Amino acid sequence: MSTASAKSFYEDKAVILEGLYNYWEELGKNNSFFRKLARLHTWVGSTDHKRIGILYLISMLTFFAVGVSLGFTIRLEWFYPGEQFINARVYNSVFTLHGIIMIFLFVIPGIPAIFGNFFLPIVIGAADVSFPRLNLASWYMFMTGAFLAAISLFVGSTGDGSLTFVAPDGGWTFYAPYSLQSNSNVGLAVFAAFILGFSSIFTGLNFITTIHRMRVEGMGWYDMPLFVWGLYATSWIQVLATPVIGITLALIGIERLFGVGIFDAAMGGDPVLYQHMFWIYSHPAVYVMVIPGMGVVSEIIAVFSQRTIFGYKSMVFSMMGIAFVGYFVWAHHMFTSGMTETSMIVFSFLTFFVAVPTAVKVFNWLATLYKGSIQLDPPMIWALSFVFLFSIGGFTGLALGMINIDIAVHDTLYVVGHFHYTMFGGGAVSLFAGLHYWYPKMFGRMYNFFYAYVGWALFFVGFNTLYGSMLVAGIMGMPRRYHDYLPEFTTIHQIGTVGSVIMIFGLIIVFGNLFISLFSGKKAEDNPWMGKTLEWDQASTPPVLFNFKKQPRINHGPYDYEGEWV
Amino acid sequence: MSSIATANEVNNQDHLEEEEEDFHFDHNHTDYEGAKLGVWLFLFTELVLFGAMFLALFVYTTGEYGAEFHEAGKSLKVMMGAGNTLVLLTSSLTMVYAITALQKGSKYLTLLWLGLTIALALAFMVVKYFEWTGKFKHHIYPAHLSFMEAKYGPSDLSKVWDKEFKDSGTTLKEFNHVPVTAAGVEMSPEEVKALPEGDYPHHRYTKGQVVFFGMYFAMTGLHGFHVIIGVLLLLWMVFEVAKGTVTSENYGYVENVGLYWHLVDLIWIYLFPLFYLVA
Amino acid sequence: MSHDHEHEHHVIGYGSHTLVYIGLLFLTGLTVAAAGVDLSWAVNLTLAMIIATAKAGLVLTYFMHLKYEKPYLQAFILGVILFMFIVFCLTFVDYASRV
Repeated sequence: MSTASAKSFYEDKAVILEGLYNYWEELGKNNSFFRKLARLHTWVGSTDHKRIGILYLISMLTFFAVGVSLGFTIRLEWFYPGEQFINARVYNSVFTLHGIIMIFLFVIPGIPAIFGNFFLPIVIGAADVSFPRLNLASWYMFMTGAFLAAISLFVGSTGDGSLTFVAPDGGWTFYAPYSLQSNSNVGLAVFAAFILGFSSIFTGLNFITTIHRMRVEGMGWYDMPLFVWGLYATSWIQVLATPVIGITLALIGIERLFGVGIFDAAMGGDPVLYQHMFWIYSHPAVYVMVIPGMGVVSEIIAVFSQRTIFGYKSMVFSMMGIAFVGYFVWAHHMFTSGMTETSMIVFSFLTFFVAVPTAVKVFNWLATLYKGSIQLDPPMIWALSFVFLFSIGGFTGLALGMINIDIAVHDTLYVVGHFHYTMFGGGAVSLFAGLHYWYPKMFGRMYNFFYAYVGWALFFVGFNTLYGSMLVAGIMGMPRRYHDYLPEFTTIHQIGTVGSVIMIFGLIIVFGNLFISLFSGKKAEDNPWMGKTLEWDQASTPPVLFNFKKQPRINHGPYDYEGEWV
Repeated sequence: MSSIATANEVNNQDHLEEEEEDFHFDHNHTDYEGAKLGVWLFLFTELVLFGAMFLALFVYTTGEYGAEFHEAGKSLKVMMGAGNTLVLLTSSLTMVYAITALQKGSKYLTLLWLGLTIALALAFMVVKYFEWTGKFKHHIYPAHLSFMEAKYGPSDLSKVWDKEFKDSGTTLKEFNHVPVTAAGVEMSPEEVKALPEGDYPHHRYTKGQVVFFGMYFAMTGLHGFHVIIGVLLLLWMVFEVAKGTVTSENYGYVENVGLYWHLVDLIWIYLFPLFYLVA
Repeated sequence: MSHDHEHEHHVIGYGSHTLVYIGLLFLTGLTVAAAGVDLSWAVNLTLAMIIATAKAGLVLTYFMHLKYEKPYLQAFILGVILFMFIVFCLTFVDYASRV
């Protein structure tokens, strides 16, 4: 080994275990199996941030499909009251897994894992992230956690020797004491979540260091695109909040194994303490889901209005502000848990503050549109949908922040509607927007606009039908996490299920279009949207290994649609 | 489909048409400051990880279990805890000595100080081993029947036996080893309390004490786990320094391992008073 | 991209380290002694925490080199401590207001 500490990834093909790769390549000269193995190695063994981004894309969309199927199972079961085709025990596992998969395997990794990985280095003019091997390790941890969560469905017995249904139940929140006592596979599931937490932490750590250290000459902090600021704010939340869930779930695991008595009231523990520790992470986590999306939407709105973003600095500070204030509002998830009135008042008060920076962003996006040269291409349609749907989510969130309203609708479908508007209509929709925005750059082809619009329209109608019906049902009194319901809720649930069918049909068209266009789409130019950030301006389509052939030069700001260095 | 412009029309005006240099990026320089920033960020996650446990500890210490924590804390030996504190503080000193030695270029001194750090870390684990086994001897460990009592109530040992031990082959009599006087009569609680410190078979713990020991094992256990990881990292550094890949030119690795090691020390600085001195 | 071809090789001498170590030893002795003095548990606890924080401060500032690091790193550490402190306080809004 040379005196340079580790062989710089820049000098090889950006794979780990390069010796092994060479071995496959050598054997592959005469054997097609080893040729394929070598090719596989350049994907799953690659430290190149772009390949890692694509690995995340494929795995996460797969998990999303599984999560959607689980959600659809719930909707089908709810078409009529009473048991339709799954019993209550199975139903409990279905909504638990729907939550675990959607949250930990889709929305939290979300935009940072896919587009942060693929584009952060390009957008700041770097060759890769600060720690490329750690980046690949993050993806390995992600897949390990996913695998463990998957096998928690099947592995294990119920203790008396019989192998019955053991999938975790009780909700993705794993509240004590049920999670301590349930003889489902909670232990395996919390261990999976623990590993996924570390995947998230290392990604955040990597991005913070990259943004601090690897910006190209001439790009100061206030010259960065808002997408980068979004990733920066999100990464800090990932670094500072995720360890709390890590240790909380680890303690649940330790208590199940060793019976220590930290959260178990029978042994002297405090279950409300579990809730505090759980939500100290899980509330900031929702901002991990949304802030990157806000960054992406800022990019798209600027490009598709061909106007500079209104109020760049207030956009920066509002994203950092949401991240900051978001740490201090967690107990609004606990208004009915039995904590004191004083703390309810304090947390309700703090919760209102987080709406302020969010509103600043909405107003700034609208101001950006004003007098812009607006092109309603698919990325823009999705970005505008984000603004609309996330605003509804935000308003319902404000309502929930009020103690009196929350006590009435806590654990009803109103809450479920609220968080689907924010996490799905906010987090996931912004991911779809990013996908339609960056697709030509990532894959070198353009998708079909007609099917993109059709898919979007069906999605939008179905989404609002489904989750709007939940808001109504919640106010009517329909509880969440219930297998059965009273007959008076039948109509509203049927409306919701019809909405879900339309929505899923729309999703199939959207993703079908994107998938088919990989093979039959028209070849895309370098800058089809006339964007001004580095990935459009100075990187090829798709980008080469190490991103740039020529040294990127910063001649203008990221939103400079009106001249040089405005 | 209105917005697709041809790339060349739009983009080329923005480029100054001077000779474009090839993309230059770091080839063999590791980013010293970046690596250090990365390690600090990781330390922040560790701080928050232990911080959450400290939060739980504080909640219980200052809450309903204040008196019982005080009582349970008496069973921890202050001198062993203080001794371990000195061990870790000294190991932090030898760690920074190692960095100074490396920066000054003396390889053998560096190896000496690193070796001493490892030795002190192992000494810490040895003391911890004695502490823990001491607790086990007094039947203080999670899931022990004494702890089960807090869950099932002091007079309900038969219920505990039924649920937890029946299938293990232990007889009810063995399980139920309540201390008896020389005359074979069961001792009263006061007599049990008056027994000298030693290996008497049965002691009853209250809920507060159960939580105390639960937190004690969880936190010192997690800390000990981090000490072991630290030892492995230090061994790796010994290896690299001896081999000559880490020198006074690229001492960043040792510095960063040192940062991790100081964090382990930092956590103990808070653990010590909260568990050992709370009595 | 900042190339630190010559990052400051800031070497702290053995003597300086040893002084910090003596300070840490002194504070450890102080905290053990203070635990022997029987004031109310709240005062004892607060005192112990103050002394522990002083020790932590010495380790952070000198052993972990924070005094000589760039300002942004110092700001980060202070920010993290502040963040944890606020989370502690907010949790105690619940626990302290229980009867």
